[in-house]
Amino acid sequence: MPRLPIDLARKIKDIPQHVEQLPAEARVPILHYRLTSSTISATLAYVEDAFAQGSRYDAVVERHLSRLYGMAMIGLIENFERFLKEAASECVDCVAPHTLDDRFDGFKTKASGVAAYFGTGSIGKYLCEPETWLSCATINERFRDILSAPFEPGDFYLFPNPKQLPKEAWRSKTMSIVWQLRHSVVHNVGVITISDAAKLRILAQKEVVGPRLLVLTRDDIRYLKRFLDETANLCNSRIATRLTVLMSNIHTQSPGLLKPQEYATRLAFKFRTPVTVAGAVGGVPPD
Amino acid sequence: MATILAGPHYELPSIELAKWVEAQGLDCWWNVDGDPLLTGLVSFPCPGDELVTELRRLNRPLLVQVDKADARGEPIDAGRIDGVVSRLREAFTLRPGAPEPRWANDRFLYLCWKGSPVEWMLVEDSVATQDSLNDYAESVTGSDQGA
Repeated sequence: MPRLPIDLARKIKDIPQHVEQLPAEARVPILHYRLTSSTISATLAYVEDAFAQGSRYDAVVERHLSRLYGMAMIGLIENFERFLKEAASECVDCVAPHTLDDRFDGFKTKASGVAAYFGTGSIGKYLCEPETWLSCATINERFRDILSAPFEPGDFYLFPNPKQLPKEAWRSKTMSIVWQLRHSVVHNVGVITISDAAKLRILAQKEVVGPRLLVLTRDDIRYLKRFLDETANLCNSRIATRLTVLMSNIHTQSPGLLKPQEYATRLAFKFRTPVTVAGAVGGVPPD
Repeated sequence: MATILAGPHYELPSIELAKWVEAQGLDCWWNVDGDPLLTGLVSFPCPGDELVTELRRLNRPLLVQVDKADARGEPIDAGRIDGVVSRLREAFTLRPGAPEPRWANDRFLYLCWKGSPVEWMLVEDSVATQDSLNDYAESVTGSDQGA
């Protein structure tokens, strides 16, 4: 029987209908991050177990697994990017009502985009969601601006370079390699092009040859996940600490502008860590 | 879809599960597949100590699916968990004659938090346990961190 005609326009339009509610953990950026990270890992573990049952077609299994590892890599990195966006969005929503300086001018907002974000009730989502957060320099710049003291240039670096924080500089370098690998997998379907290789060679300070097809291993994904998990936890803690200090300073400079207890409770919930805003204590709520 | 609550099951306090996990050795690694609560709190797979900490802190009842027709939600403690665990070889169809994969003997429990419709697996992860030992052996050879 020949292929029957299908109303593909309708079928594609139907795709956004295939959804379910977000879990409660999605309200807290770091919980949302961990949930997705563990889910990707569990999916891989399940598929690996299902595949590794003494198949007679090992070459086929290996090829498919490598492709799945590529998908997992992208999932893990996109999950980390989403975490940064959600954390930044929360920072913007906390700070925006209490500041009048130019801290948000670095975002490329368009009037045409406002309507789509009207229903969110969040200036943070409007500013942070449409942007890509895929380079340490851009991420540093945005968080530095968002979390700067009022009318001051800002000195907070989420991914510090060797001069700013020598012992954490390796993380920034490693993160840059991760962003570049993501580029190869997303934009070149797993091919390290000659230009990708040149960049990776400089970042990794190792010989990298292009053009080559990236053939990921299970260990690659395991180490990437662990690196991103630890980096997400560290970022969450550093952002929470900085935002807490900023909100305390705003209160000190302009008493009455904000209610410290309200923000202490909010930040403890959103960043899942105990905080103190201008003397008001916020505890992590029970799960 | 059958639910744990609708079929044979026991009630298992999370602190009892924590005791059992602890008794398996804190170097043993575990995976949780499908629980938004635990996976939001811990990066899985994880060593036993991290899981034990969260199970104790949460301190709430779980329901565990069992293969005993007369089980009707009676509470069980850590001492009875060995009698209700399954092995991964039972969850997958292994090809006859092929060597057993190294995870075939890993234990798992099919669980849900009491009152929650979300059902999930707690799985012993012997592969991650071995990976961890390998990583430890490799860690003595040097590091790029700080380079």
